[in-house]
Amino acid sequence: MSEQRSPQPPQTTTSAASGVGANGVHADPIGKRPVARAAAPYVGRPRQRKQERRFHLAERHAPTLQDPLAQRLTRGLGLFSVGLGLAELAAPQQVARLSGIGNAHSTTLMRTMGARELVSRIGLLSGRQPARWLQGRVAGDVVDLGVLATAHTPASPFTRRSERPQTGRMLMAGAVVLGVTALDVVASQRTRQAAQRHAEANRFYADGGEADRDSSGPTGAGSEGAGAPSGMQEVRTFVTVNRPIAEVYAFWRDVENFPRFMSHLESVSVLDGGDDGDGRRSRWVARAPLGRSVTWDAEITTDVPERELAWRSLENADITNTGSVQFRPAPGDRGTEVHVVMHYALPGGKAVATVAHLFPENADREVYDDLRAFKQVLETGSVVQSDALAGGSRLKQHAAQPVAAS
Amino acid sequence: MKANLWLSKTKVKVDEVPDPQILSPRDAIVKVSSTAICGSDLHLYNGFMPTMMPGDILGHEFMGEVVELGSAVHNLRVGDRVVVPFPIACGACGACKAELYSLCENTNPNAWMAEALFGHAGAGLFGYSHLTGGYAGGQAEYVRVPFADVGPLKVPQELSDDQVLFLSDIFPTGYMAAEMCNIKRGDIVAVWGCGPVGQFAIRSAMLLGAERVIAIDRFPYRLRMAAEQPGVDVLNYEQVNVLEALKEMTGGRGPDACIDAVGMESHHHGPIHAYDRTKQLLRMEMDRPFALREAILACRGGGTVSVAGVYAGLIDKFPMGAVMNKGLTLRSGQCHVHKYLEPLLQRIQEGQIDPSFVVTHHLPLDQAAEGYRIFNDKQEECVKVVLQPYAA
Repeated sequence: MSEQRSPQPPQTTTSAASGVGANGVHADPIGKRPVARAAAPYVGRPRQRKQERRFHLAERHAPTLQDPLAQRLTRGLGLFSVGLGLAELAAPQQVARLSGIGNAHSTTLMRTMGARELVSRIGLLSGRQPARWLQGRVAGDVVDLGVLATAHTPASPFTRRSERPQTGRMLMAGAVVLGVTALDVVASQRTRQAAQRHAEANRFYADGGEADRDSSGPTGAGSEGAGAPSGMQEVRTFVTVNRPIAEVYAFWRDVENFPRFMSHLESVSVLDGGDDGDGRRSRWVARAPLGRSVTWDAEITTDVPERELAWRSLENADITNTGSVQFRPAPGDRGTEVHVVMHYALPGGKAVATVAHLFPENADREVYDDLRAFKQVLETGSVVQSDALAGGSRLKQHAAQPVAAS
Repeated sequence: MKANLWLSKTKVKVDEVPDPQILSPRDAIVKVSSTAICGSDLHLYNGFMPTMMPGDILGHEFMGEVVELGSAVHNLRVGDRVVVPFPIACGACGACKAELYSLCENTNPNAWMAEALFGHAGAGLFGYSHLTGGYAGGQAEYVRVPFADVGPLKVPQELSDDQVLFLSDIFPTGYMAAEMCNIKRGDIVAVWGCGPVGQFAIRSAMLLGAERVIAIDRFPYRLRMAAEQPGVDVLNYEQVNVLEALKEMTGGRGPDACIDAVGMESHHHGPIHAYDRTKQLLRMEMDRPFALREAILACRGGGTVSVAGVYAGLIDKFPMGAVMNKGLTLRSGQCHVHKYLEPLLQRIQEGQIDPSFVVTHHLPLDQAAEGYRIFNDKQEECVKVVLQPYAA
């Protein structure tokens, strides 16, 4: 578990490292400005958001996107592999003759090399883990050079019962292979570097930190905050509520209101209320699939009235989560802007998180729908129900007609 | 209760469903006395509106008697005779406060669907797909009316159902289309489509002071109905070149304002219609915008194109160059019905207009399927079908 209070997404740390209770020096998790300023300009990150999406969905596809040269090289080498591989498969003898190997028995070898080229092509053009495929290519190039060199030796098995190897052509072929090898090495290195940069830039959102586990990213030494820990989903969502900021803040601060607008919550109860408690700790019970429920305790870590609230789950949480909400006056008497950032890890560990990664919109939608329901409760008194949703959950719509009385 | 259910493309059926209940303290249950089939219902009927589910109750033009009230509705009494606006509005959000009721921010629980398509969601609508909230419609014996303290308008007993029913949609929709034209003295307004909304747009434009209205359609009986209103000229686009005729009729200027009262199932002859029809069938464009294209080309420089017809998605070959270079103003929107209820009721009471002129068919609710068929196929000179659940 960890806290999320970093102005710099790449900075990551766990609660063990950052310690608990840095409440006073909370920085804006949305932008880079200190919280102390009210009514600040919009500091959302639409472009970065797009990138996180891509990262969520295609974590291992994206690295070369950060290096156009590596991207072009990778694509070019992939296409080269297609041509060579198809030629080696379809016309092994001609390729052998062209490269100066010129041996009838090299057909099988040529076809094997062709198949390898095609596999490497599929790998490269698919865009998955290009760095690894490129490393494989470099290894394949070494094999190719070996074949060429062996073919030059009169004792080579490839030269039996055939015309003499043609040294000129083999030197040409060798030069071509060496050139390709050089390109493979360059592409491989640049792609790996790009992958590292990408992983660092996205540490904040990385799933288990696979790509950067061994790299020593900045871990918040001397910094006041930390990003979300790896393995956590992030949701950002916003809504404007046409009510005064004091009322909107107060409604959110009274956490026992949450089941009125969060569809999955069964109950929220304050644990340390009363005269001596500060009402910062609460117990949350949510519905889970198959009639089960999940429970966690949470604590409010930042409470700046009419401006900001932040919370985190405590050690017993089934769903590890942190979040913050900022309240900003909307211009021209339009009410209050509510900006929510949440991070959560699902029970079930990495497998569940991986599946959830495939559907980031679902998590976004759930939180967004809850936030809309929050607006509905404040503006209209209750969550608005349509006939297609009545008596069911938001995810299960039925035809738009009344449901029978139970 | 009985209700008219959408089953699949061009298939509707009146069937038994559970009675509606009060779900929120601000709900009312209305016993429907009259409910109409809207031209926009035909978009659902023909399967052009996404997110319909088999069993959805259709209908967003209805009126009737309040039979049950939630505890928070204080402006109505059981027994009141009311007309209900087709958009559902909360009355409290930013949009409602700005009188943009059809853009209510709270009444569409499926906002995420609409946002995926439009960027932002509009209000929930009765009986108009899950994209607009998944509310049961009014082509039924009873209907639950959310935010009954905001929407329904009490109507006086001396006015008949046919005179006030259309306050629920088509009269305000046509009126708003004309109002968006910002009509000034001497203005000539061209209206594409002489269906029910077109008819109300034509008469509203005259009410708002247009010099002349030119109505465009291809069905002689609809053009005849339009021409009954003094000051209205008609064009049958199957017989004349509309762009040339409009130039001639306006001394070459072009109409000062153009109203598209056709929408996404626009009809035309020739290759461009085949093109749009094909692309629509292939789902490459959702809407066929022929009337809109022609309205843009016809409109004078600096004029206004007002879109009352319903569009759901993407259109092709949109003449943006004409919009920009002629400095046109493009206005549109689902009607903010709530805003128009009182003033238009007053116009009816003062005898400035009698909306019952559009009604050509009365049918019992049981015959809803028949009503949809004749309205869709333009049979029996059909302009407007009113269904009566409790017809004797």
